Formats: sequence, structure tokens, C-alpha cells
Amino acid sequence: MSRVLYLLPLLIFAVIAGYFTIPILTKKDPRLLPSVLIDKPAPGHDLPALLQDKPGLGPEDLKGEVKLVNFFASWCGPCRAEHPILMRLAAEGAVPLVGINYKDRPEAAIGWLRELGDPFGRIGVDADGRAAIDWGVYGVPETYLVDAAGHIRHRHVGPLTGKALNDTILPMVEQLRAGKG
Amino acid sequence: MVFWVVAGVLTFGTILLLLWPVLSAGGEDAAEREAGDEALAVYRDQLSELERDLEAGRLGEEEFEAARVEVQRRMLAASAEQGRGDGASPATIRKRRLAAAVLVIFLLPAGALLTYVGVGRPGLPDLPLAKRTDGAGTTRMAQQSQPSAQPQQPAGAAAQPGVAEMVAGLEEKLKANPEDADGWALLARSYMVTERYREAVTAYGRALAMVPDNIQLVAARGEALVLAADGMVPPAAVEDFRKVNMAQPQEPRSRYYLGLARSQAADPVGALKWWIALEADSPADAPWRALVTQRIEEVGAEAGIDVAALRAAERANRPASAAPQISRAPVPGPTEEDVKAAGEMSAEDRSAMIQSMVDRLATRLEQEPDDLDGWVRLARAYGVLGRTGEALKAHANAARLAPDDLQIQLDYARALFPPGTPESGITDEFAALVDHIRQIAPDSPDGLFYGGLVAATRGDAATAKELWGALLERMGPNAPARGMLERRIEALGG
Repeated sequence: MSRVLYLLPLLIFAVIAGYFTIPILTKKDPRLLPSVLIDKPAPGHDLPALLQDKPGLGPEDLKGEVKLVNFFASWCGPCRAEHPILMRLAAEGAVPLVGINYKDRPEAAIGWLRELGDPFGRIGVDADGRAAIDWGVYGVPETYLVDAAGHIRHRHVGPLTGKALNDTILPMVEQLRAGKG
Repeated sequence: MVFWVVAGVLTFGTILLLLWPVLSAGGEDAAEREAGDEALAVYRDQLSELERDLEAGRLGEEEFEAARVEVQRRMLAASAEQGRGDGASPATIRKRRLAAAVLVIFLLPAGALLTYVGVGRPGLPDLPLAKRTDGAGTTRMAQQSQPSAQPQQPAGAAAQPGVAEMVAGLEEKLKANPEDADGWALLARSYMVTERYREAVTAYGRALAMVPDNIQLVAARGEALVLAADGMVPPAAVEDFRKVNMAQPQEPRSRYYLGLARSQAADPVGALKWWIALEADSPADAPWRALVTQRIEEVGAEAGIDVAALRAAERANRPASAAPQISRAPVPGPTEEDVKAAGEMSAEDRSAMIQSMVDRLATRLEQEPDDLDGWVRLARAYGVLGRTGEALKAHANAARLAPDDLQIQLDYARALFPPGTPESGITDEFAALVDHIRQIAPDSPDGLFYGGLVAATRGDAATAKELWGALLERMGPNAPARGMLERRIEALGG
């Protein structure tokens, strides 16, 4: 009888291993962070401008056209890695970009943009991270696709990659624009 | 080596763990056999007791027989049990143990080794830096492309005592005499060695303020900018490398970084274009070649692009693309002796010679402003020297003298609006020139593109669409610029 007890650790291990393996086998990526805000209106905040010659972000500014909202910070390494992609999107005029500068010193952020280029059409300052909480930001960089009605349609956690851009984000931009007519 | 030692120790430990029960099992077996012998002794005692009882008359003959048979049966059962458990003689037991031990000692390491040879990769480098696209591998190219005169030292040269003092001394000297371009360049290089990249950028900037035409310094500052940005290629560095590339189209460092910039902007096609051309131009023993090849494979695999086909296309293109550069405009260049002399000079002397030739040409053209060939040549020379403002003036003069020469007009347009300038940089002058180009050559692809650009920036989406649409029709289905153009047209419509 007591022999069966010896098998108990093995059984426990099998249960735990199964728990971790099944999501992988069924292709459910554990890294995907679903957003509760998908298809809901983007939170409206009045964010002051970072630069003198570029507007900040008001609650109404998110409506009107399909756009990407990018949370960035000068202290964030991955933001640097995705920055050339944003610059390219801006240069190609593929989709308007709105920047939200997250918990940053303004002078550091301005220097950062001067060094790496400024791809954004508007930049709002979220100095205390309050807007980021309402957006459900998990960690910078994070990018949201917002449609013409101001609804969040897609959320990308972490630095943008060429794959994410070409496979998901740009097709969705096209789709949303086409849907608008 | 360390790996094999660790693997060996682990295997040895495993063998010990497995041998432990085999070797220590001896005692237990003996105890079991003893228990069996004890049982037999008890039965033997019982038998003799039965006989005593029979003699004493306490048992009848029949009862004795029945009891004796019963005891003997039990004896047999007990000895049979003992035989089944491990009835074999101690010698066979030892043999079996030995076999088990040998099996563990030999089969386990052999099995491990065979599995590792089959599955493992002994030659796999640990975390190949150069393969990482986040720019972490950039330092390698940076070190390899340093002029060979500079000793290749590992990072952490800051620990070298001499460098810090030298830097301090140089800083002092430059404070007293800030007009020393060579001093700033030397200081910048020292900062690079000690990994103070931001300060290196500033120091290179100071040097370049005095000698703006020194292409080597421009390239070095570009590299410093990249390293200061943790391996990302910032726009300022792209500008530097582009300048180097215009002046010296073959310079490998700028080509590598321009490709890297495209790769970081998620444009694998653009990156591969730079790198495959660089690879084709690199001698087989170039120190950067392996890195470039590796990057090509990596980016190609990631983007699902057939790099072999691109390489073949590049090789096929090679003689064709080299020819126009040489044959362009039959203007008399420097004489053969000049070229020979230039080849023997140091880089500084050579650039001084080019300077003096350019200056001579410029003075002459002031007196004879109608010399078309002269202006074309001067414009090109200024372009090479990176004096863009003066190049623009020369291009304007050439364009004034040859209003119907499409190539000259296009060169002027390119000088007015260099590739990579933001669209807000479009001037009225440029717009007028584009109109002119469209008049002399309505079908010129460049004219169509520029015309669309001007129309788009003026908000005339219909005209822009029409011109770019016409250009798209003219393009091959695989032209690299096609995607860019299609996106622009879509952006107009959206």
C-alpha cells in the first residue's frame, strides 16, 4: 500500500508538466496579453505637449482617423530598438503616430527624440503614468491601434517588430480604413 | 574544454549514484538467507522433537508419520522459497552484480556520449552576439573595421592605466589650444577605446567643425553615434554614413551600417540590398566578410527571402552597374600622372591635391562661366568632398547651360532634394525644376516620382496619384521601390 505513496511525487510532476505543456501544444501563446480594452473607446486624457511646436493629446484627438498610439520613454531600452521602425512608418506616411511619453523627464525625452528622430504627429506627456494605467499599459514600449472612432482595436506589448508590423498591424490599418469607406 | 570537464563530473556522479545500491545490496541478501536457514533449523528441531515424543510414547505411530510429513513438507516449501528468492550460489550473485556494475559504468557514459553526438552541437558558440538584431553585435563590426594600425584590444581598455592619463593630458592640451583638429580626433579615438562613446561623438564633432571634408572622421563619428545609441543606428549616424557612402561608394563600414539601419527599421529588403552588394565587393579575406554573410543569412531567413537568388542577381548586375560610374560624361579628368601621383600619396596629401585641383577649376569657371563640362566636373568633385552647398551651385550652373539634358537636370534635382530629406524640404525652386524636367521628358521615372511628390506635398492628391500610378506601370513587378510607392499612393487615398 505504502508503495503507491512513492508514486505521488511523480503524479504531481505529471500534473504540473501537463499544465504547462498543454497551452504550448494547443498553440496558445502564454506571452499574449489580452487587453480588456479591445474594441472599447480609448481613455480620454488631456495630456500636455512635450514639444513647443507639436500639440499634446486631448480626448478628441484620438478620433478622426486610424492611428497608432505609442507609449515610450527615454529610459527604456526596447523603445530605442523599435524607434527606427516608427521612423520608417513616419517617413513612409503609412499611418499617423501619436506618442505618449511615459514617466519621463521632459528634457531627457526631448534629447532622446533629437538624437533618434521624432516620428510622432502629436506627443502627450504622461508624467505620473496615470493615463498609462487607464490604457492598461503593461510596460513600455507598448503600441495601440486606435480606429477612426477612437476605439482601441489592437494592442502590441513590447517593441514593434517587422513581423508584427507586416503580419498584423499594417493589415489591420488597411482593414480599418477600408471598413470606414 | 570546461564543458567536457563539467559533463564528465556529472556523468561520474550519476554512475556513483547508480552503483551505490548495487554495491551495498550484499548485506541485505545475506540477512535474508540467514532467515531461511533459521527456519530450516526450526523444522529440524521440530522433527527431532517428534522422534523424541514417539520414543517416549507420547505420539502414536500414525500421528507421528502425519506430523513428520507435514513438517517435512514445510521444510521443502521453505527451502524452495529460499531457492526462488536467490537460490543461486554466492558466486553467480557476484557475477550478476559485476555485470550490472559494468553495464552502469560503461553503458551510461557511452549512451550519454552517443546521444550528445547525435543531438547536441559541440561547436555551438554561446549566444552569438552578431546574430542579434537588437544591435548588440555591433561592437564586433566596430572593432573589425577600425584601421589596423589601432591594436584590437578587448573592451575594458579603460582598465589600462596609460589611456586615462593620456586622455586627461589631451583634454588639458585642447583646453589651451582648441583649434587642433588632429588633437580632437585623437581624443575622440581615445574615448572610443575607453567606451565613452557620447564624449567621442562630441570630440569628433569638434574635429569635423575644423575639417568638415575628412571622410574618415565622418565615418568614425557615425560609428561613435551608433555605439552611443547602444547599437541602434540613429538618424544622425545615417546622415554621416550616407555622406561617406556618397564620397566613397566602396567604403565598407558605411555600407554595413546603412544596411543595419534598414534592418533595424524592419526593412529586410533594404538591408539585404546594402549587405549583398557589400558582400559581393568584399575580398574573400576581409575581416568583416563573415559577419556580413552571417547577417545576410540571418535577415533572409527571418524575412523568408531567398538570399541565394538575390546574390545571383547581384553578381549578374555587377559589370553593368560598374560601367556607368566610369563612363559617365566624357569630360577630361585628371591626367594619368595625376592619378598615379595620387595613388602614391597619403590620404591627407591626396585630399589636399584634390582640393587644389577643385579650387583651380572653380577659379577658372568664375572667369568662363559658360563651360558646361567644367561645371559638371566641379559639381561632382564638390559632391565627393561633401561640400554640398557649393555642389548645388555648380549643379545649378550646369543645369542653366544645358536646359534640355535630362541627366544634368536630374542631377540638379537630386542635389536640391537629396534622398532622405524630409518632404517638408521641398522648395519652390525644386517644384519649378520638376515641372521643367516633366516637360523635357514626360516619361522619365524620376520626373514622374518627383512630380508626384511635389503634387502630394501641395495637397493635389489626384495629380500625385496619376503620376505615381503611371510610374508604377513602368516598374517591374519586383522593383524594390514598388512597395514604397504603393504605400504612398494608398496614403493619398486614405
